[in-house]
Amino acid sequence: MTFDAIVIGSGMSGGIAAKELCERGLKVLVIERGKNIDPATDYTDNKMPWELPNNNGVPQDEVAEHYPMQSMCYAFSAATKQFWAKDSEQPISTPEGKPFAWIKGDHLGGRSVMWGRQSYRLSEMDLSANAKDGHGVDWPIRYADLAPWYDHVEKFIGVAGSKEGLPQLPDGEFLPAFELNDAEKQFKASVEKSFPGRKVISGRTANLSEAQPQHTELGRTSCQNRSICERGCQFKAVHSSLNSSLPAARRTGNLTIVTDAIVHSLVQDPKSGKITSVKVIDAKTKEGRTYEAKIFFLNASTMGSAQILLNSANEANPRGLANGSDQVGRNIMDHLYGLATIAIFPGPEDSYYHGRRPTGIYIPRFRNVTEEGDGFVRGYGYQGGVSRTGWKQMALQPGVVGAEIKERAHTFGPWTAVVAGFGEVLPNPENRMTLHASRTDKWGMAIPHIDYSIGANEKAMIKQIQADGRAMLEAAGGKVVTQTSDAAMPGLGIHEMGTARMGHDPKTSVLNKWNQTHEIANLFITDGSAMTSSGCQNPSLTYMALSARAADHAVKLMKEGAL
Amino acid sequence: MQQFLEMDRRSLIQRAMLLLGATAVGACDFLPGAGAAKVLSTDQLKLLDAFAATLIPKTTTPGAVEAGVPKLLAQMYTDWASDETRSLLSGALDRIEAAARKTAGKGFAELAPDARQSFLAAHDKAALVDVPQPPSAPKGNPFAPVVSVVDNGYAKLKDLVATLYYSSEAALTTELAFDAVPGKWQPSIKITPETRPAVTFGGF
Repeated sequence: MTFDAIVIGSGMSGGIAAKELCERGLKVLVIERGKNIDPATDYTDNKMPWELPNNNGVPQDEVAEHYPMQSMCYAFSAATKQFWAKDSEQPISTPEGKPFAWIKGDHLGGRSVMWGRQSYRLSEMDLSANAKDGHGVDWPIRYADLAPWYDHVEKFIGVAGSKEGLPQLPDGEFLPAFELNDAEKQFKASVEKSFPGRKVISGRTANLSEAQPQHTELGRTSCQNRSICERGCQFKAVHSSLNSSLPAARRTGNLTIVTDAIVHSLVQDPKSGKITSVKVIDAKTKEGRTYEAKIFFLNASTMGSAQILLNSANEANPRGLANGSDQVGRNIMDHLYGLATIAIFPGPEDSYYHGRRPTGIYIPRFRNVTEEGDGFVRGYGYQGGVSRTGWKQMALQPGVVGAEIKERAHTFGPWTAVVAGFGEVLPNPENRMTLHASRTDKWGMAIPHIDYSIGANEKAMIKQIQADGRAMLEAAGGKVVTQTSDAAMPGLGIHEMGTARMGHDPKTSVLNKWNQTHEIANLFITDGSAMTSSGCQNPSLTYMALSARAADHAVKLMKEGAL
Repeated sequence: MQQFLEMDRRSLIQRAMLLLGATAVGACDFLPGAGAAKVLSTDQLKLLDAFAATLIPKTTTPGAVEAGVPKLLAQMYTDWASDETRSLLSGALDRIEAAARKTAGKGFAELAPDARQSFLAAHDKAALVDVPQPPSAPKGNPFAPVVSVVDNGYAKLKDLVATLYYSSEAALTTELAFDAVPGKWQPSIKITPETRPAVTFGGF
């Protein structure tokens, strides 16, 4: 079959790319390596807590054999097991002593189904950071290039948030914010008084606080505050490829999806240099087949897209496709993560809340914005929340048994406040994914070898993330109970990015300012690979904005006959 | 506040990290397995019933037995637990029984309800005393620290019984507030004598 466009990957960025291309009249094929998911039958969000097997735990031997890495993600459970790749089938390799976790989906919709939903724009500050301090290469775009596409994507997916007027965290097209609870309002007032320039805001999240007509026409309704988003949401109140972008693509009549189709490589015409087709391996039968199209969008994720480019090496391009710069697979960045400080907080004793809000609080970056960083460039934001202590902490104390457990579980505990930093990581070409020289997976594909570590800038940042977290909680009257001593294993931020970066110069970057590869006119890459720097903001919104922008441009080029 | 400050940090950290969407599964926080059988014995099942009934008894609301916890746990013992976990749980049950026979002269299940409760309170307190580990010992990670108490198996057993209870339909319709579909988020409500805390799964 021949298509106008092929989109490789159906996750966060692929879903939006497919939608935008379909809406512009192209016949689009989406190729997904994982299994099909039908929201009508495959979501597990209608299960009551007592209906989940093994108290929602995956059998421990099964975890050890098939999911040792995936199970490190908080969203892994019996209710979501169907969404995770088996590490036993899709292993990665890392150097001794340098662990990295690649958390990945294995289904239609990819990680957009289980994502954390926090949605923040990059700012002018972020997009000019490399040019300013000399790390990495300059982004070939600025905020003004992205802003209309952020608007476009936010309106479509639905992002709840408050307008704050902050230059480092631009406002967007928001649905009403999820309001802070009383303790969070108290924390906000204290922090903003003690630290002028810092702000505590409602976490901007891709949940429909109030569904709008563009949402309801796709069958999406307002958020019911269940906070089981990662099981899939039958209210379709959370944005995912399954709930929003693929249905929007499908209604054009221009969408075809194939699942269980593992992309092996892109096929390049040696004369024109263009990509002509995609070679896939059937995940079930291991048989090979080919799909042809005029343009190609690579949205297989940061590691996956680089893997495909490297695996597409040919005689003229022994280092892999679009890799004249030797930057494919390099410059991996994953936000510093897991840097939490936890305190007992003197919130109002007679106040509570109702519902399980799907977001928390956010403290936008202030270091190297309104306050200098101590020995590092760039900065970090915090996610967190203040909530009442749950039954377990109240009831399960040594020596307490019998009816007293029930009585204690009825008692309202004090408020617990948590802030956890998400820190920007600098681009470093030595943080790199390559294809393993000898190890292959069950489909015969060379497995990724990921060599990653953080540097001096990140280490200095970690210290200040923890010092600032403690200082804010204490200034607000909190008593710090504990603090993590180090960042989580790299990869667990699940914000890995940078393996095919955008840039001005084909010698030092893979993609131009339209996410088009410098070397192959009909090949676009709009997932996390494209990121030239990482910012400290959760990046999915940017991937989606880049995808929509690139799709629009690609169609214009096609109509001009330039592709 | 004082009561709270005595609370164990591990569960606080775990809960807090779940709230943030962090790593949930621990690494090697169990002792090596001793090849426990894949099903609990009849005597152990009887003991588990008595333990669950004593830990979370029937009051004006159902207790752990009425909520079906021992059956669920026995099933998890077979279907979910690894050999290491089975060994821990089985060992914890056997130690309860042995301690009851030693101190009270009878099996735990044969004790009168009051005697069971006082025995278990003492056993629980002793079993959950923290055991400091040498600096070289594995610490797990901040999200899933290695449990190190006198009886790690007992800590696991108690946690599972309580967690299964507070996930059960019986407890979530009588003991804690649970709305499957809360609807609109209400950021501020006044606590009255009738207000019950909502169940927390993970961080919420």
